[in-house]
Amino acid sequence: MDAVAPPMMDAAIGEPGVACTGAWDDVSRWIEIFGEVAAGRTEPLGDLYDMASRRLYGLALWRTGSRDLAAEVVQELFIRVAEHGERLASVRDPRWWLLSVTHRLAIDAVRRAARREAEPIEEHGELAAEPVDHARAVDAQRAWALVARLSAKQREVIYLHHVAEMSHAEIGRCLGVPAFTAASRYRLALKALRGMLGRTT
Amino acid sequence: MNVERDPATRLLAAIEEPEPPRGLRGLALAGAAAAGARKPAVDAWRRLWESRPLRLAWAVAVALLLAANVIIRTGSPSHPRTAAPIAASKEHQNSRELQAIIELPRIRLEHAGIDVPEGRAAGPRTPEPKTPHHDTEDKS
Repeated sequence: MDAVAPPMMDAAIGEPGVACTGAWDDVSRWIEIFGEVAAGRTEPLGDLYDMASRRLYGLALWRTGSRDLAAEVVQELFIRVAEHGERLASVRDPRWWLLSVTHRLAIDAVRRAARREAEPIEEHGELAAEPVDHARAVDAQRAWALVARLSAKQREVIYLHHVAEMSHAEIGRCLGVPAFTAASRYRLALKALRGMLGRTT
Repeated sequence: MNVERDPATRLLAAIEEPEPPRGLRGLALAGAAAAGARKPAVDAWRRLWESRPLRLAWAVAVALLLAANVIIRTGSPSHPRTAAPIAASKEHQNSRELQAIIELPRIRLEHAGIDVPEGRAAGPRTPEPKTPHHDTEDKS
């Protein structure tokens, strides 16, 4: 497989500042931003968006299967952050807090939209970023078509493990389930994917 | 299983984090700014505590209640009789009637066909209650 630049390092398209892996890993910066927002400043929210939006939007998208719902989730999340005010200062690790809230908001969004007929997610080629490499793009398209057939829960763990590169323990922390459950859910998802691959090849 | 050779993992590696839609940043930040500018909802107890007239009214109400309680307890005898003593005297009358009903004449066990131990049979005898049968005998 050809080496492609890590997704988080891609340049933003018309959007200022995009999260990079380094920014995600630097906990002190997150705590600093949360502290500033807790003190009543709203300017750091821009930095927060730049650091977190891609990962949070991705999680919401994989969970809801709809771009519109995922965008709603991200908007709602930032409203929650602003409303939390002083309480943000007591958040130990803002990254997990943000991922957990995104996860819950995505579940709520899906429930709210349950009456509406959801568009099939296979139709959204742009749900995943378009890889620059042609072979990789073909792989991505195929992978997406298969992933779309998984349940929302399974898609979510696949996203968090493969795309967000989180460990099972971290996934469990984010989703509010034991690490064992997250690992088992991931294994089942992978097994289902392999089964589908076996049938298609 | 070797991760590199696993076709599922190899395919998944091709998927990249999706790009948020254009304009989402502006919308999200505008929503957050609006939410931050909104005053947090104040609950009734906090409003009561922070408002001086309401605090004063509360204190006056409590003082009035206390005063009324004291006045009722140490009321003078010239005050008209309240309902409570009347109810108490009626209750006393009722209790006497109840007592009379409860104290039924004793049943003589030997007349009821029950074997009575010697000691108990020799006990004090209770007066026999008047029955309609005795009345008829007296008349004859």
